[in-house]
Amino acid sequence: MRIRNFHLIKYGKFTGTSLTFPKNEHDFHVVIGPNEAGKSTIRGAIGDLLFDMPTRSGAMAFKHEQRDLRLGAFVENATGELDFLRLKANKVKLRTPAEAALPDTALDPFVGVAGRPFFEQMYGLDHTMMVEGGKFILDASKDVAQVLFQSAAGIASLGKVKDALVQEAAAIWTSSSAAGRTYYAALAQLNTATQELKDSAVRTKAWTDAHAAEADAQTKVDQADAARRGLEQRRATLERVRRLAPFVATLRAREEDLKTLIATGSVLELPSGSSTVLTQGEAAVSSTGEVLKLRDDDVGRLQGLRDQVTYDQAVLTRKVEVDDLEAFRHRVRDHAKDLLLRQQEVDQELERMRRACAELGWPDSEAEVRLTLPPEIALKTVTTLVKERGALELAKTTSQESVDTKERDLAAVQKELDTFSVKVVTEELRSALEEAQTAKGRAPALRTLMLAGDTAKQTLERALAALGRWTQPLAALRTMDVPATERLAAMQAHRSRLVTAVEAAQERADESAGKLETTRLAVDQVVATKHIVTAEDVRLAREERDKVWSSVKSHALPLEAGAPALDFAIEHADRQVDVQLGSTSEAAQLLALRQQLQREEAEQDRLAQALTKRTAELEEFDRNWATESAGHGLNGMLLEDVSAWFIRREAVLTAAAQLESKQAELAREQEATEVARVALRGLLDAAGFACSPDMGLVALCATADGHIKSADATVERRKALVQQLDQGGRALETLRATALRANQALQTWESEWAAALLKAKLSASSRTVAEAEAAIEQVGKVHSALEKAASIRAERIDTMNADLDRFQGLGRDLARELVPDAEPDADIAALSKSLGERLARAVSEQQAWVNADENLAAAVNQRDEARVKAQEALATVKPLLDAAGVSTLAEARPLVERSDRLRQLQAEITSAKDELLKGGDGLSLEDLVAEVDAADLAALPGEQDEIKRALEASTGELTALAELRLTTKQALEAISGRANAAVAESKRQEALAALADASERYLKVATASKLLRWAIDRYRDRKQGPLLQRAGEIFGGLTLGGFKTLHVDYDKQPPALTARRSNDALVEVSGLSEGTRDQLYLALRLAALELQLSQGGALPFVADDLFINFDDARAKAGLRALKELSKFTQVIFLSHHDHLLPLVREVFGEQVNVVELGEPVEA
Amino acid sequence: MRFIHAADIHLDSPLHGLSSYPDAPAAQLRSASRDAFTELVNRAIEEQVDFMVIAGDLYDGPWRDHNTGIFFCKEMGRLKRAEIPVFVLFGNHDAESEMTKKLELPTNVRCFAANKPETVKLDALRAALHGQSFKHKETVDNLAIGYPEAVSGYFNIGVLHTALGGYAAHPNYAPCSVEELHARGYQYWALGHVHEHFVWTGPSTIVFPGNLQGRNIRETGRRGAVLVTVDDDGRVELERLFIDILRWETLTIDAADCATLQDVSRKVGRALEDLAADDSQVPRAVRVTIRGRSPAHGELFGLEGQLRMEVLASIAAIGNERLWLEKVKVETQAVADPALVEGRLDAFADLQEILRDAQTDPDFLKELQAELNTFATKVPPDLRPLVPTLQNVQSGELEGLVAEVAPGLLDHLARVE
Repeated sequence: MRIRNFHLIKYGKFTGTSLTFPKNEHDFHVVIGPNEAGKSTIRGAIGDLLFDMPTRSGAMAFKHEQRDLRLGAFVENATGELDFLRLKANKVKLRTPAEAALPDTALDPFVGVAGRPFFEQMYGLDHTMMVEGGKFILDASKDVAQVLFQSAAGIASLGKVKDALVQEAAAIWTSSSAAGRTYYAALAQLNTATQELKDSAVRTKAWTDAHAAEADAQTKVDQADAARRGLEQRRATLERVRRLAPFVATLRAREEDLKTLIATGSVLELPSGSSTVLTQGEAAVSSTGEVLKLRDDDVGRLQGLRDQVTYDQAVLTRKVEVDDLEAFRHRVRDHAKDLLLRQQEVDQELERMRRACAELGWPDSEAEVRLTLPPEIALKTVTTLVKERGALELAKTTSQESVDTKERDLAAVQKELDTFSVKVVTEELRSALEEAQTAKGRAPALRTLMLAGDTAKQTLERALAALGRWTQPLAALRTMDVPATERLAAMQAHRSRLVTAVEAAQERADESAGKLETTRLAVDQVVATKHIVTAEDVRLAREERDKVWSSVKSHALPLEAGAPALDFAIEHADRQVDVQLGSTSEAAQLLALRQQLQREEAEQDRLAQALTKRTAELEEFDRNWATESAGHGLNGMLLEDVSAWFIRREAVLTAAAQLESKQAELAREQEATEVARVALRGLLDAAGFACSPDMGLVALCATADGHIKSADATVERRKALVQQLDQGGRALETLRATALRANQALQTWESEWAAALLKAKLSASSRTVAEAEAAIEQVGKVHSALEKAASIRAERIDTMNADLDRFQGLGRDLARELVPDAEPDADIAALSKSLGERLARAVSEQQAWVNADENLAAAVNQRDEARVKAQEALATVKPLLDAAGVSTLAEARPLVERSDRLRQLQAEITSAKDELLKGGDGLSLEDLVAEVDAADLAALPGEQDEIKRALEASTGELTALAELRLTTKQALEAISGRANAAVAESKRQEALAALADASERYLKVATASKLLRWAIDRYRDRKQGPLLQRAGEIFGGLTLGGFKTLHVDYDKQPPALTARRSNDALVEVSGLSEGTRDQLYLALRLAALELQLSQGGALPFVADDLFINFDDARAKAGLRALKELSKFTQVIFLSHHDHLLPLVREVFGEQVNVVELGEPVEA
Repeated sequence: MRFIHAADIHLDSPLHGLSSYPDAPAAQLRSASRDAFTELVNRAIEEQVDFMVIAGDLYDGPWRDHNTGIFFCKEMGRLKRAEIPVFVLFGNHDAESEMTKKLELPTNVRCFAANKPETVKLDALRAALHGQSFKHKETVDNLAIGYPEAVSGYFNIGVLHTALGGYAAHPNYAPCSVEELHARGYQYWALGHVHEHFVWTGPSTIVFPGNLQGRNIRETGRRGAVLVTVDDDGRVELERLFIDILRWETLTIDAADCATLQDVSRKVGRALEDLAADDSQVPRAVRVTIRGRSPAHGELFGLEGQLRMEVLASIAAIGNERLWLEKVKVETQAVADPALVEGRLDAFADLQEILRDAQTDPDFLKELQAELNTFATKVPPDLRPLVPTLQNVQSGELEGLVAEVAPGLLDHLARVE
């Protein structure tokens, strides 16, 4: 597939740019332009054109919207051609130039199975990729297979992928253990979890055993406990006897004392505490009597003190009024002074008023002035009129000026119109000019057509020349009888089969002859080296013997002569038999060889006949072809060449058709141009322009265009003047009306002004507007002064006078009641002050009386309390005296002492019994007394010591048994249903899952790694030979003969890629310079591409600035390599180096297609 | 009458196939079978059921930790305190368990005998339970035919551990047919052994409740027991109790519209969010399988590890306590048809042919086996059943492995920048 035309309609920075790649002998095209001209864009655009625009084409949508991106092309190959548009769209992505939808598969016949990655890898090469390729070759220089495969595939990632696979596999597992490797990390987890499971899992038997052990330990503990309890019980009994024996003795002694007391007389059973009551009662009666006497004395003294205190009740009853009067006095204290100051302020305001009145010519009396003041509305009217006056005067002046200006402008326009003339142009001349300009616009197309015609002509000539000695006139070529392609292919296939058959027959004959010769040689060697007697030899010897014997027996041979002969014959025959018997195997071998020889001779004959037959068939076929080719006028042309010749003939016919088409189109365009020129010239003549007959179309167009534009301008000018006059007239009327309204408004003002002054009482003082403004200001001052004077009088002076009057009234009212003897005109302020002082004294005296009264009340309370306590003391001892049957405290004392003795003895007996029961561990009193009585108190300590030792021994035993029980219990409780083992098993499964994941990935990655290695080696085995040979040739050219071939050095392990210099020295890749390695990579890429292209299905090869760092000689060599490639496929060479152009022309000829991209690139 | 029917509890059986990673909810879910069983007991107490039936496989067969039995006893003790009787039948997994024989179960637990079928009558409920435990693990006799006649006037419940005609996923123990069970005249058959939930209705209501807690990726979806309500007329109403602590899910992603690993990762992330949003209270163990003819096939082949990390990142964003990644399986295919690659003119066509040849090349297969065998011979025995390829390596059957790896390698090679 090749691209004939490529249109960057809207794409990247391009708008409407077209590139043409006409087909030449070498399909090589240079696209040249400075940096940023868009070369890289073109490279990407070709990919987008052929394989769809990526979903995100943002990079190319900086000038045009994404949805507007659009490319177009005309592509062709041996099977057809297609003119189409490529759109950035979701649905219909391909369209015809007429915008009809094309199926997405429309390009399939041209791009085949290639996808975009394939295209970019194989058919795109830029300087960066070439340099990367060179670096890679160095990296992989010891791996020939990888170098070849990667170069052929055009990928730079093979080594990276291979290394990544190896690294990933190693990161998972290698035979040496390391914690960092995924597999071993998981294995460590597994081992840990397995151990954890072992440690925590409990078998049922373990639980059964633990259960039995715990029960056994518990039994032993129970038995030891029982024994200990017996000892503890005996020890308690002994301890009780020891403890209670003294109480038993006490009990018996007190019971004896009680009997003695009762025997000495009756004893009253007075209440317990009677002795205390008696003693306390005596003390209480005595002390309360003394206190009561003291309190009576206090009451008498305090009552006397209170009665001595007096106070002023009259003034206290009017305390509120006296306090209010004093407060009022303080408030009005400064009023007299303030009244004087306020009056001064009033006088100042009235003075200001008088000064303003003097300016206005008004009277100076306040009362008169108040009558004279004009109304507020009249003053406002005057103020408003003053403000309007300026605007009215300005309106009047401005409107009059506008009227004057407009009148002058209209007069000037009218004057120009009166003197203006208009030119007239005919419609015929306009039409003729339009036609002529259309024809002129076709000039570039005309030039393109002429150029295309020349190109087509050259193409035809080259195509005719390519026909060689079988070239013919075009007519003959067109009409020549051409065999059908299918028939030609069938004939070629037939001949190929014939040739193959002859070659095969020849090969088989040669092989058979070789075998025959070998067998002959073997027979000769056996015969020569082995003394072999065959059965035939024996038979012949025996026949000879029998013949001699027959001759002797028939006397044909005399006995004397026959006997020796017979002896010899007999001996010979016997010897032959002996030898035959001794050489049986050799004879069999020889026989077999001879039989083989016979078979091979027969085979040789058959093969020779077959060869003769095949050769005859081929010769017959060739003779028939010679006859037929002569009939086509292709006498002597080989059948193998005829297809190529017919393709070249097709090229001739295509070129001829192209030439004719271009020439016809050119003639049509030229005729149309001439018709337009003649018509325009005639009309210009008619319009008065003297044009020479051979005046060119461009000059005629310019003349006609100038004439028409001039005439059209006069018409436009006149139209504009008339329009201007009309519009000016209407505007003038409007301006005049405005001026009139302004004048009338001023007159109205004048009349209103006089009336307003009169109403404002300013006529006398104001003749002008300025005077009126000054007068209004003075009126304002008068008004302000009057208002302030009135305000001070009402708000300050009048208020203070009222306060003073009220104070006097209140003071006199109070004085009449509290100071009846005061003078009627006494100073109320002094009176008020005096009353205040009197009130203070009365308050103080009243407080003293209250205090004395409170002290008296307290003393009365204390006297009453003392009286109550004395009565209570007597009541306390009253029940005791009654119980004892006496009336005084002294009589009661002996009775109380006997009662107390009885109670004490009874208490001690009860206490002894209580102690016995308390310490008796629940035994009854009788049992305890009996237990003490039965005990041998002397032997008690010895027995206690013995039991103590037994208990100590028991404690040790119990401790050991408790530990045993605890241990067994803990062991049993450890099996408490906990989940440790289950959790450990879960962890184990997690580790196994991790191991499984790691193993699966390892197997996959290791297999991939192995597969890749193996595949690369197989690729080398299959492709190395032809690829290296062709790459060596290209490399030789690129290095200007510095190197001549490429080899693989199998003596090295691993085999290494080497290059042979022109002097036969071998250089390994690592010994090549960086630039030379780049060229090696380029050679390998081009060789791989050539080899693959030879299988068909080409796409355009885009080379982007490959020779940036090449000197001219090497760049030229590179161009030669691309020239060779351009035999097989279209090569589009992008470069920003102008200096390469001469080299390109030198290599490809002057006709090489050069497309220049300028700045800017927009068409 | 209301009772709970559960089976195949497999107490303390671990979850299989979940590898732990730093943020995986491992600690939270390692006792999933216990937690699920505790939840079952909770529900029984909350629902105040009349009794509970456990139709076999209370423990895992090879499991030997007696703590499991103790735990079971404690849970039964809770039911005892709530006055809920439990009827236990032993199946193939627990028939020969030492724990079964030695455990001292609370008095509310009644185990069916193994030597012959027996009937327990609950007069207060007018219900009769018939059952026979497995005596041996591999009980292949039809036990159902020996079950007693239905008790007249009672609601008869047959408790049986059976494969019921055979399910490929389970050994065909105690085989019988649905027709046989219907013919027995019972009103309800409480079955166990099959881990999926099935119900047959007809003369009898026959129920497999499914196992209580899914244990591996083959046991996906909701799991639990069945709450059975029987009204006064003997009508049966079933309600599934979903009490699983962790739910297994498979998430299949079609990567046909994904151009890159990032696209795949984003699509997986969205699908995971949808999954987590559904019934979000239960944590999930997820297997993500990437399928389809995808432009990202080669990239995925080379960067499986990175894809796993990105999926884990998506899970972290959703909440590690809610999702546990079981595995990311890449089963994509290359977009380019092999026939189209053959039509290419570059070395990839040759490479494809060579890789195809490798599948049948005895020398290559021998070399590969030797290399992989170094690894395969060193793995622990427990791992072998989990990685079938290991057996293939040792038996030299590596054609499948090569056929699986080759297309991915080819596409990966074609697309790596």
